[in-house]
Amino acid sequence: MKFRIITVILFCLLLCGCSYTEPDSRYTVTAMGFDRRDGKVTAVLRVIDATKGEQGGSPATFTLTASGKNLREASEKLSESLSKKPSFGHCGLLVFSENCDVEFLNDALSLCEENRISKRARITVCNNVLPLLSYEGLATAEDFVGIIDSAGKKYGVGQHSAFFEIETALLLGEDFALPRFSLSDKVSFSGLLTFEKGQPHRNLNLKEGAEYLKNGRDNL
Amino acid sequence: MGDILEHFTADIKENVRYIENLFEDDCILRKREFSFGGSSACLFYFDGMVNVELINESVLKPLGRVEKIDGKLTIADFTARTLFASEIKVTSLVKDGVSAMLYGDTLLLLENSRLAITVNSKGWRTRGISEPQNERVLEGPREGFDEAAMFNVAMIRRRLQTPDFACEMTRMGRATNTVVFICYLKSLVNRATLRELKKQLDNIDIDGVLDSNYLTEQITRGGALFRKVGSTERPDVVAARLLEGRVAVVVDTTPMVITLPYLFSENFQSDEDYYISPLLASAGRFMRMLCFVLSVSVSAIYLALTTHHFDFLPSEFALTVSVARSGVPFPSVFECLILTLIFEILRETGIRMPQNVGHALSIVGGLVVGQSAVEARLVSAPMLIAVAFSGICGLMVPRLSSAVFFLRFGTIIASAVFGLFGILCLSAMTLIHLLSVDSFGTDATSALRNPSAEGLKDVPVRVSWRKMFTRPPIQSRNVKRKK
Repeated sequence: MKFRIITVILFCLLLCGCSYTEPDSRYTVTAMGFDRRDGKVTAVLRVIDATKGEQGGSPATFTLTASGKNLREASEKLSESLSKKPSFGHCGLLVFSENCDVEFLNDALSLCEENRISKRARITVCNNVLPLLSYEGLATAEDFVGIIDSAGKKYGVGQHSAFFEIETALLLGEDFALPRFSLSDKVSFSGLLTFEKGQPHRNLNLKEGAEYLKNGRDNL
Repeated sequence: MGDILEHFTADIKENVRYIENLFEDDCILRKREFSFGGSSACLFYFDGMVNVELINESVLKPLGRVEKIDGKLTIADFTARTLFASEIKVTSLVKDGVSAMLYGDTLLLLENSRLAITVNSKGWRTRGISEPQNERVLEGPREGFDEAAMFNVAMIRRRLQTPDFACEMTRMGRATNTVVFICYLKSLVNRATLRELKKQLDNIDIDGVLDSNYLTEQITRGGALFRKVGSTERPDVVAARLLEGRVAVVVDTTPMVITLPYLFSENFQSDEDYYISPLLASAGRFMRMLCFVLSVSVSAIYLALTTHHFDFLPSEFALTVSVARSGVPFPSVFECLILTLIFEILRETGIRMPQNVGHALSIVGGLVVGQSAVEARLVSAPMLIAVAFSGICGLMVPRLSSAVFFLRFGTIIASAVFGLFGILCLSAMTLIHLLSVDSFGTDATSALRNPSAEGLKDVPVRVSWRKMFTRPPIQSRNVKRKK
């Protein structure tokens, strides 16, 4: 009987692991970004620390960055710099810089999958990742998603930007478009970055993007 | 005390001396010596257990009027014919006479007779018929048992006015000699169950039986997580169960009557279910089933989600939990266990306290202490809500209170170690155990194991009496309830 009980407990431990972590001992990652410039890859995290912030008010949010030769190195450095265990399940936004090619996107998405980032996360691009994710007025992914959705209602754009859909498009080698943000005045949805044959093809401003989606690529 | 006297002797003085010696340290034994028709007699009884007026009217007065004893009859026969009592017994055995006296009868010893007479003069005070506090109903009968087994059996018989009703008496407990009645309906009872019960009762060798639970624990085997024997304070419930082919055990000095076999589904039935509309009764049963599951799992699931599966939570909720937890000095699992324990203490105290104090305790315990603990950051508000909700759900199924108590702590520990997987494993183990529970030869979950349209009519739901054609699946000899 004792042997059976021990077997069951060991079996359970093997299956579930020892993942006990207090909710206040985690950083809640709300957004993640990757930038590639001058042969260096920078990973950016926008996190919420529930234990800090005003009493009765919103919890504190801050941005963390780390650079490396490649994605994995940058990501490892970022993990080492965190004092608490990050929780990626609530990451609702992945931001890439405009000069990312499909291969880089592919690697980044694989890394995100390893970290169990939610498949509901939206993917966007911008010219500079760090300022976008550090912008004080936008705390969560929902804020970005809200902008995309409102623009989508107005212009009929903002489709095909979810993690799962991009992952599928990459796997099938399809062309696709990502919503693009600009930081000129304040953070705003400015257009679409189209990917064709594995490379960023062209930036479309909001009006062109709307035309692009309405008429299709051939008529552009 | 000298030699044990088995039979009464012809010498009344020796008999009287023996009885006096037997109860020499008992100050409530009363003795009354008198003579009638030129012959001396002595009666013994226990003060407070007899109706003294009845003794005066049915024994002393009629015998006082006797001038001469009819020589054709023995003195015992003559006396028995002369008494006005409704029930008298003539015995030569000292044991029987003493036993009857201990049960409230009067023992009459006669001169030159090896026989003694016991007169039924029971007259102890009883609590009387009142509504059972633990089984209150809004509709239906309000009568409840009291501590006198004989009256309790009479209350059952009043509901089952048929010669089919059988009631066997036995005595249990070497010191208490408690009267125990086994009641059943001859045409419906499962003989194997009855035989097994009697065998189990015969095997009991205990000095005292002060409550039906003394027997319950000794006639049931195996784990005590789920009940194998039902108990009730309501005569209408006992009558209904006898009509389903079950056996009832009525124990003197307690209002709790045991019924068996006991099905798991009975835990979710209310006494009122059969007195209200079937739709309402079915809804009530569904809620009780749901509350059982919730009471066992809510706090454990909350703990598992916040500590193991944080990513499963909606973002807003996850942030709320994190913010609420910040500053709490204890780990979540400790917080959850302590809060559950405090809830159980409050519940237990509330039950034992007088009603007015109980209300005050609920307010102080629930509102003041709870609110203060959250404000002092000793506990987090969402955890307090989860534990309180879990506790309130548990109150919906009082018959499963012991199972809920242990399972709740079990699931909390399993979830702290293994997360949701631990809860699932424990649930599976509990289910396996539940499916193996056997109550006197009947599967406690027979309705689930062998589901049938007829068998389920009174298990998850309660269909209308118009459609209830059979009895529950407890291997009754006569399954048909109506044509």
